[in-house]
Amino acid sequence: MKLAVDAARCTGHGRCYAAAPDFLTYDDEGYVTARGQVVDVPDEHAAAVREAAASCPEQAIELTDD
Amino acid sequence: MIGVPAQEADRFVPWVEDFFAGFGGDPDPAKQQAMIDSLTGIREYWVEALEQRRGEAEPRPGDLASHLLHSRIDDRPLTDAELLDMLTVLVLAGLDTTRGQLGYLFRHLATNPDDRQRLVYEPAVIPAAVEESLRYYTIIFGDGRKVTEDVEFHGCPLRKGDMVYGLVAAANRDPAAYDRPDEFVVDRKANPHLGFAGGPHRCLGAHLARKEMQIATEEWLRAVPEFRLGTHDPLQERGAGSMLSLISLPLVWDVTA
Repeated sequence: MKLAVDAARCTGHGRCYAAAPDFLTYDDEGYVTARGQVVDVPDEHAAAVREAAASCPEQAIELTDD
Repeated sequence: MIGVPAQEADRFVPWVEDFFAGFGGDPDPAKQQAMIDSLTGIREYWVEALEQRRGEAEPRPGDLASHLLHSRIDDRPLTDAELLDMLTVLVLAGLDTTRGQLGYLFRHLATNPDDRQRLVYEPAVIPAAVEESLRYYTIIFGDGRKVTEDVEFHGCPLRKGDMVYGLVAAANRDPAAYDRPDEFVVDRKANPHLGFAGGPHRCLGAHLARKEMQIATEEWLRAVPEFRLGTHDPLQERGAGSMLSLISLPLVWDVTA
């Protein structure tokens, strides 16, 4: 699975890294560090990352299955 | 949490109450004067606090005013007007809202013993309960926005310059977005609520607010795990502007030796 965070939509609510704290983290300004990037999600984090995507009030996170 | 001693709450809380009593539009001249006086009091507090911290080589740990004095926007330090505005808005926007939201959460816990016991025995669920309270009891129930370009929104044409009102409390109960939308699910997963609004103007204090609520709930339940409402009177709310708040919340509990 791949995770993409749309930088134009993300406003730093922080709900994603609260839902998947073992995979996502934040920068000094409170944005998820994956903002504006596409990253591979290891299988063991897939469930938490799905919850992270579903928790985003801005619908900024897109998941695509490999 | 921002470097203001806890005992100062006795000064800040009445200031904020007086401010919002007038801000809600009550034309009573005494309330308008009290609003002005409270704003003056808050600003004078921060003017003095900034003077005490100015010129120090290092920011004081855990002290927001001190950190702001050491902050830069691009290449310049913040002006006195900017510092004062930020700190004043922090007090006005931060105290009344967080307190108001905690009121609804604590009322819920007082009247829903199952949810309360879950949080007592499983404090790790408290953050989810805080988010659910923001969804289910959305105290900032809506806010206005100005349309910046012509657009059609779900079939409704909007013109540049139109004002629109987003009722986020309704969005937070959207059955298309939530399973059991009208139920308080204490451990709800995947809760993309708009309790802090959304878009570029989402609540700047969101992280501080939810951290304060989590700590307040955790500490309260550790000290007072069993409590109930101290009244049978109907719930009384005030709803000036676009924010709901309980007028009072009498709670009682038994003291055991």
